[in-house]
Amino acid sequence: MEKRVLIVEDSTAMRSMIASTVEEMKGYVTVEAANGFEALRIIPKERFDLIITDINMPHINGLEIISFVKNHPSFNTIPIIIVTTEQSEEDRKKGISLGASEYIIKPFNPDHLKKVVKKVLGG
Amino acid sequence: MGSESLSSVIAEAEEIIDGLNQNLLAMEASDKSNVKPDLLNSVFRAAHTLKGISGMAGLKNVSDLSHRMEELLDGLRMGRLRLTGKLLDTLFESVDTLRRLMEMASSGSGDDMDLAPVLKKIEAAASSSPDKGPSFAPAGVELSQDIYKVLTEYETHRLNENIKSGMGLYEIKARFKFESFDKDLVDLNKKLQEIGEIITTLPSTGMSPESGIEFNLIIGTGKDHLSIQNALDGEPVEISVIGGGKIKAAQAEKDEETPPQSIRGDATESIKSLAKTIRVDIAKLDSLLNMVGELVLTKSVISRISKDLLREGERAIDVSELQKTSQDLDRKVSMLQGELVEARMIPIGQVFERLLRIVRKISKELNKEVTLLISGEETKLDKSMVEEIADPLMHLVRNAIDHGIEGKEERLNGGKPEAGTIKLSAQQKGNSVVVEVEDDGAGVDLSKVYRKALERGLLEESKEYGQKELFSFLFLPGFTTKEEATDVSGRGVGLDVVAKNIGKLGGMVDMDTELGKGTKFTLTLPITMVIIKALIVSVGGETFAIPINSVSESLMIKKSDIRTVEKHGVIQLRDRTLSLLWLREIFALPSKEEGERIYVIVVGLAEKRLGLIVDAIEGQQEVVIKSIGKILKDIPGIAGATELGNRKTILVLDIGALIDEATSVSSRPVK
Repeated sequence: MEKRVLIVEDSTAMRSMIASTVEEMKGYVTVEAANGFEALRIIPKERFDLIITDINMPHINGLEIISFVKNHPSFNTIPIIIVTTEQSEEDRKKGISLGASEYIIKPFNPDHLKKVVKKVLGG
Repeated sequence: MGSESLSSVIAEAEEIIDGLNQNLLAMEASDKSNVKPDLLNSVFRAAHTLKGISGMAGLKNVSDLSHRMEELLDGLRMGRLRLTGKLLDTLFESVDTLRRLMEMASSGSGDDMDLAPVLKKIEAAASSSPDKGPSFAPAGVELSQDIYKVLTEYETHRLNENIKSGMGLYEIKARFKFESFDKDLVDLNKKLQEIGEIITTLPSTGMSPESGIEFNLIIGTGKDHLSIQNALDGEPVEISVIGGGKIKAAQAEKDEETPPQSIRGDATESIKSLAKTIRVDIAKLDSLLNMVGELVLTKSVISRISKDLLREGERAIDVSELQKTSQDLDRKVSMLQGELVEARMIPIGQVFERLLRIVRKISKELNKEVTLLISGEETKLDKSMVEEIADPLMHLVRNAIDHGIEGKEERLNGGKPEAGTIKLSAQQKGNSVVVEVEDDGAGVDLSKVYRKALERGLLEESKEYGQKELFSFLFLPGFTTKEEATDVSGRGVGLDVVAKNIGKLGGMVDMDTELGKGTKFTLTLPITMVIIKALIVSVGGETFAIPINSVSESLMIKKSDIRTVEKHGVIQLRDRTLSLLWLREIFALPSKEEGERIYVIVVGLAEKRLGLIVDAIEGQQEVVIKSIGKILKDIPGIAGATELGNRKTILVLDIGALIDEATSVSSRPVK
């Protein structure tokens, strides 16, 4: 069965670059959420194998999304990859302590992103 | 990285830069020691996003500069730096540089530029503003660990700042229906922002979406429990105090807390996405519009055939059916055309905002105080049109500040307020948008214009000239009444370029001025340039299209009305002399015996007016302008080509070029 990946990122350009990198891999399908609201709406309604999320977003940020996912018995098993920048070390650490599996630093190398995605999904 | 990604980065970067500029202006307008945290944070986030996407696109300079800005802005939002006028100037300059870098990137020439000067300023700004010292950790706050561990570094800082400044901290629990939570939460946020600062919003949900979604918000506010409750009247929330300055008073009220209200049953449920806008590549829209252009042609063909058939009487075909189809096609195509034209529209306010920056810069340079009043910024115009009018508008605004608005002393002596005012307004009128630039400055001294024109041999001393005729000299290349050139508008650069550029867009410029009171420029622009209304005329057996926006009127005159002045044919049109141009001669078309009655199409560009002599007026029609090949490109007077319904290709006249041809001082007289 193909792997379904949710990408939560408020920058359109960044979101589509992440999505196209993930879709370059065989057997992956991406769903995009442009903000925290969209993510909260989609997560309980669809099946996801992986969530890739930005941290710094307006209204509902990435840490809040991670907490939402990891505190719910129905989807707390979905692994999460944080996409962040070099400078946001504190927030990144918090994300990991909240239950995110890995992080990627922006700007990212597409091959590195693919590697991390595969590692997290154990494939 | 593909070109598609690069173009999406460029589109987003442009949006971010515009937003940055707008927010910097808002920062400048607010009390510098008390800028709203949300504003600072969104400026930071803009630089942060720009850094990320430009880094992905390999735009090293954009990414470096936005990174340095991000650091500076992070210092501001985290309270490590204090906002000063100088720091703000540095930020404005950085945004200007980012804009230039992106312009270079979008023209395909990379983003190579020496950033050292601006980076130096950023460095200076970062080290000159005092460090307020590190924030202290939250103490005496009953914040559950669950919430504390989710706070970002910035949120933790805001929490501390709220405690420091004696604000009370409250936890607001809100439960919404899953179907409408986004709208409900936005409504709640609005109410909360009026009374305080939202520090965090933590979502959680029950076993199934049907059980709704709960948000745990932490707010900092100077209001007491009761006021918060009143402000949130009708919201399904539980309010509890968790600490901060007003802790005692607030806790006393805690006992009287009302029980939580039930979940709101809202009739306006929706599962629509919050995002109501899309970003479309202009190239894609262009190609769609091109398709519509083709459809328009097909439509015309069908309608001609059906008319022909009707005329030829009964045939085997059901003519009325064909006509019905044609009407149907007509309706659908018009709808498609309307939708597409609409999709390309953006508010003119995007340009107005950029002008705010120019006004700020130039009035500083010239030590004049200028207030820019903007109205009608929501008026929509075609995207390409908005871009094209940016520079002409900038010229007019520069001119207004440099030549129009007087110095402070002169204004006070003249009984005017010290600060000059420039009014920038836009308004839709039918198929046109009218943009006005009006200043309350010195106005144009027409006697000076007269003297200068006389010096340059442009007029005869013996003759009387109307106001409009004198204005028209101001639109000639190199014509200025100013004795000294300044750095701001330079000598003689301006109105002729403005008029020419607006003319290229199929628009018109008019001016009005009163000595001592001010000057007003009125730009009339078509809403879109891609599909235009044209007047179809015929001359010497050929057919031409004239953009209707350039036509001010059409006349039928008697041959005997024409006089000859210096080998130019002219007629008297009300208070002014109108030069005539025989299109037949310009395009070397076969001559036809002229009757006693002659058609004159009066076309205008800025204050210049010209009468085009044609054989006949065929009517008005919407045409799709297409560019012509290289061979015909250099022929003056032709703007492009279009096809009429009968598959005949005709040429569209370039009114600006024809007026230049007929009125430029050095041009050869018309035969």
